[in-house]
Amino acid sequence: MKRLLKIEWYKLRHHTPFWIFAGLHIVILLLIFLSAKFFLDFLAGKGEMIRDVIDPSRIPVLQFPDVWHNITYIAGFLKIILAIYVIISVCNEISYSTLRQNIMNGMSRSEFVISKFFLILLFSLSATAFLLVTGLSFGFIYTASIKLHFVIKYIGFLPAYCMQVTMYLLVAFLLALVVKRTGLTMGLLILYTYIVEPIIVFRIKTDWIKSLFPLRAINNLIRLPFSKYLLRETQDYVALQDLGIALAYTALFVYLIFLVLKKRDL
Amino acid sequence: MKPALTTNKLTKHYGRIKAVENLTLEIPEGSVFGILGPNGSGKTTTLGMLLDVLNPTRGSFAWYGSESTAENRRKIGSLLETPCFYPYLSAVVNLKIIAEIKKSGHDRIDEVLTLVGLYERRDSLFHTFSLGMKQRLALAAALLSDPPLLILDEPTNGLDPIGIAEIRDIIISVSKQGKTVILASHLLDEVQKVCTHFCILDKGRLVYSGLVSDVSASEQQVEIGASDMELLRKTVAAYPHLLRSEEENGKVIALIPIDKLVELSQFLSKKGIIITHFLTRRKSLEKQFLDILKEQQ
Repeated sequence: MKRLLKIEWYKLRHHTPFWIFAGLHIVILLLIFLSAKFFLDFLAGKGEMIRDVIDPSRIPVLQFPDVWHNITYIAGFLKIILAIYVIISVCNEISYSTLRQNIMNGMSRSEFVISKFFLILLFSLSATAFLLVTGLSFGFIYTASIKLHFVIKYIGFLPAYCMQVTMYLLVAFLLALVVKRTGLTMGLLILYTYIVEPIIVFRIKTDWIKSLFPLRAINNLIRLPFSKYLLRETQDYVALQDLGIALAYTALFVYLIFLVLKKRDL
Repeated sequence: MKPALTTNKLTKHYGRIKAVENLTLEIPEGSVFGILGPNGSGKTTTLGMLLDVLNPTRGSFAWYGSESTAENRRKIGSLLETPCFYPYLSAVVNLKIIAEIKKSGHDRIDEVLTLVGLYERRDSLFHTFSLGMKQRLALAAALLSDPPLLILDEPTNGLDPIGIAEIRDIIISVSKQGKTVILASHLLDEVQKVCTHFCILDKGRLVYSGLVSDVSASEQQVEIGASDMELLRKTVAAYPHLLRSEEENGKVIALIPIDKLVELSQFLSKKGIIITHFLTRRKSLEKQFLDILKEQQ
């Protein structure tokens, strides 16, 4: 295990795009969080009121305990950045023929898959760790009176976020293995994520069928939090059935990844 | 001695194309085994199957008598077709990755880089290398874990004459250590210089397998020139032990049994021919190779 991690780390450490994508992810996340806060303050400054009664600057977006639900939900939109790097990494192994070379040198096909799982886990765990630090920082800065049970109330969204990222990166890995070409894989993933599945899901009326679509299943782990500020009903927990569907998809993706690589001539 | 490799009816079809068909081979341990064949004869496909990057359609093979595993492959140094490395990594880091894959430790990295003449460029990125340097690095990678078996597919691709000679020396010194080398090449001259055994593939089928020493053992080619070429031609044609004769660059080339050399020269002088040129040639592997392929068609 340590050996595979080491192999993957040698490849990452000297790969400039890795640092660019990691940096980009962090910078964009911080910009979004801060601009959300500034935007609400700006609205308040202009005397705007939400539904005529709520002062926007008093909405606790970055305060405990809401901060966990809000930042994990927002960060969920940016997993495409990490997915693109996973696609680059996997497609490079195919186009440089280093996948083939590594197998000839004595890596097993499963070991190759596991080494890429390490890359995926490295991303999802460090992104989660980053959100933990960010959430704590914002929470302590913006919350007036700190109470421990408030600090940890919604912290369960962190592992949900971690799972969300892991699953989406598995989709990227699988797609990259099947399509093999970097640009084409990126295009297809973006197309499916932002156009194809949303349109299909939009046209379906039944809720439980909607929740069976893979990306919907991934996103359902963390539901929209902001509706509560409009005084609408909001699911502020990870539902067991959503978790079940997500776990089933994770197992399916992992199985398909092994299957695709096992049968292939390299 | 148990064989290093046995294959049993190994077959690979790509749709209707039969890239390798029922290949049954045995490669003795410690031999330098040449796999010959024209382009597209199935050499690389065969090696790809032996290294588990291609799935055989049928048939099986065994390294040292056991089923093929990643564990087995770690003990094989291989160089197949073009050298494949991470272009954005230096020579040293690329070799470190391979050392980790082979579980072989990093202590031989400097040694193999020196051996192939790349030590000075060890920190240069792979994509800055010339084709010859890439090929040298691939050879370094193959030698990295000091494996008991080497598989080299066209190892002299892209190398200058000095590089080719160096590769030959490396192969010879490796085989002197009792290691097995499998060498696929279309450079027959190279194979003849270093190999002990060879086989010939044609359109995916095994058409010949034997010892390199057998090729030149029984027959002898003699290149003869004389002042009266017309008479020479007639006389040679009349020589009772002649196997075959032809003409090349104004000389008569006679193929005779190896022990008839003295007799032939006596025969010619007796007939009053003044010989101006008399040169013995080993019957080359190339000749044999072309003959065997011709027989196939």
